[in-house]
Amino acid sequence: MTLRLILALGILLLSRQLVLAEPPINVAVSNWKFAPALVEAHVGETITLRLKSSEGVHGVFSGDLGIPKTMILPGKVVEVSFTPKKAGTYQVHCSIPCGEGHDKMFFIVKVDPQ
Amino acid sequence: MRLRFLPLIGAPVAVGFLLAGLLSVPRSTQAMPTFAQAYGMKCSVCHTMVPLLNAYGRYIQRTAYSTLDRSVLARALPFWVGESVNMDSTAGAGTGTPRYTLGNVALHGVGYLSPDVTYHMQQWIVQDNQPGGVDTLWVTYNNIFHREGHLFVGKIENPAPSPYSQTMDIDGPAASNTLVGEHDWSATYGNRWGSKFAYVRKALAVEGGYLLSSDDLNGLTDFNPGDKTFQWKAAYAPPDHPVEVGFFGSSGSLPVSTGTDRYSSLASYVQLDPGRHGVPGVLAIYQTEQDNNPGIDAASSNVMPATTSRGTSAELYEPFLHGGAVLAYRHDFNDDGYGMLSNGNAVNLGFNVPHIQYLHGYLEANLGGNSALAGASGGPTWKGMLWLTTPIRTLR
Repeated sequence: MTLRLILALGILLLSRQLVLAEPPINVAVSNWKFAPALVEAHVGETITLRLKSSEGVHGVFSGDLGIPKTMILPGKVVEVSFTPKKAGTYQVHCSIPCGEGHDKMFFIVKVDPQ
Repeated sequence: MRLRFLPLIGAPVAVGFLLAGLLSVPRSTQAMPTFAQAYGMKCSVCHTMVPLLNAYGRYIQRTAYSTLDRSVLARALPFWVGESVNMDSTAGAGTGTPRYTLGNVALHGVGYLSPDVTYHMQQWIVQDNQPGGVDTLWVTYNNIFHREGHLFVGKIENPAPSPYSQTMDIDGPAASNTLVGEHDWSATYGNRWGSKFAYVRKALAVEGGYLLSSDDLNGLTDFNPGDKTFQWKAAYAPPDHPVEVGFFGSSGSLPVSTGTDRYSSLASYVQLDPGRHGVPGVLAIYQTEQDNNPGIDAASSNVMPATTSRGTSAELYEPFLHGGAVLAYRHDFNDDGYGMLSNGNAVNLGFNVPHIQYLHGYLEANLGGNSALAGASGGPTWKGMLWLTTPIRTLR
């Protein structure tokens, strides 16, 4: 009986977590842009970006948002997750020098209060 | 690599390549395979037409590749092989026999030695069917002035406009080709052993270097060669805009039969990359040089007095076939300061050979003027080249 209760509770918690988790956001990466260029999030909400580059090696990094330095290789999907701690608007630049448009290659993460 | 030093394939072969190029759909080929391979980028990110660099490519060149990401470059083997076949209709002087050479193989290496040190080497295995020498061999320390300073040591490209070392023209701009007595300007602008410091901060590019021998590996320890030169360059060269404007010059000495020729040159140049909507690219260079003791005139055996000489090159180039080919027209004018005026006109075509990755083709027609390159009959003379630049290994 106890075991069943524990299992049921576990399943409930797991399903609740699955329901609450935001689906990954697909981000198309190319020379020299991210699409979409705007990602909206809330404080405390875990966001997963699923990045795929159609041309060239690019990267993402943001110390403010807790996005680790991540290389995005052409044709391969890479996922990064982060949980914003503070509301605001953040620019996430391409972290790898990638050509003449590199300096202007970024997307915006808009974090609203919880 | 300076294409002008490459010996060269025959007009029929070159025209065949040309037709093959024009009748097929071009595809992207790649220049420095290590960079293109590692980054998964098209050649056009850095090149207008391999090896002619665009604004961003010139930025990468003058920062000694240190603005590329080390971890990305580590994906590819830093070594690659270049092979060219060449034709020169003016070779075999007087015989009318075109000259073909198949033996031009070079090993290239580029990349990082450590987080702060980059390098570039090019060793000819075979050059013009002969045992080859060192074309390029430098290392650069890049962690100076917040990584905006770059100290080059070795056999380096000198402080001059990028097309002096990276041009799709087989003969390249001739502004630097004036011969003044015993002093040949062009010798000043080849790769030479020495040291160079480059400061690159956004659009500002300033370079200064002291250059010695242009010899093979033995030139490394030749501290008393004939020609010793301080050279410099200052330019406005934004990496993300298709324009570069600047000045460059030299101050050097050259032993001649009548003592020492002390020379100094001053030049200005502008380079515009081809734009969208059919705007052609432009390269214009104007140089003056003063020689205080040019030596003996070979023709008259007279001692030549001090003089001021001039050289000009102006070139227009236009991409077509979606950037798969570039057509260029160049006019050169040289004045040796003693009344010898020469000029030349050349049409150049560079193209990516369709369906064969890493293969580039070049064709040059020298149209005359009174240039030494002009055909005796007054008709054009031809040069052609196919250049294969291939990585040794696939990506990790």
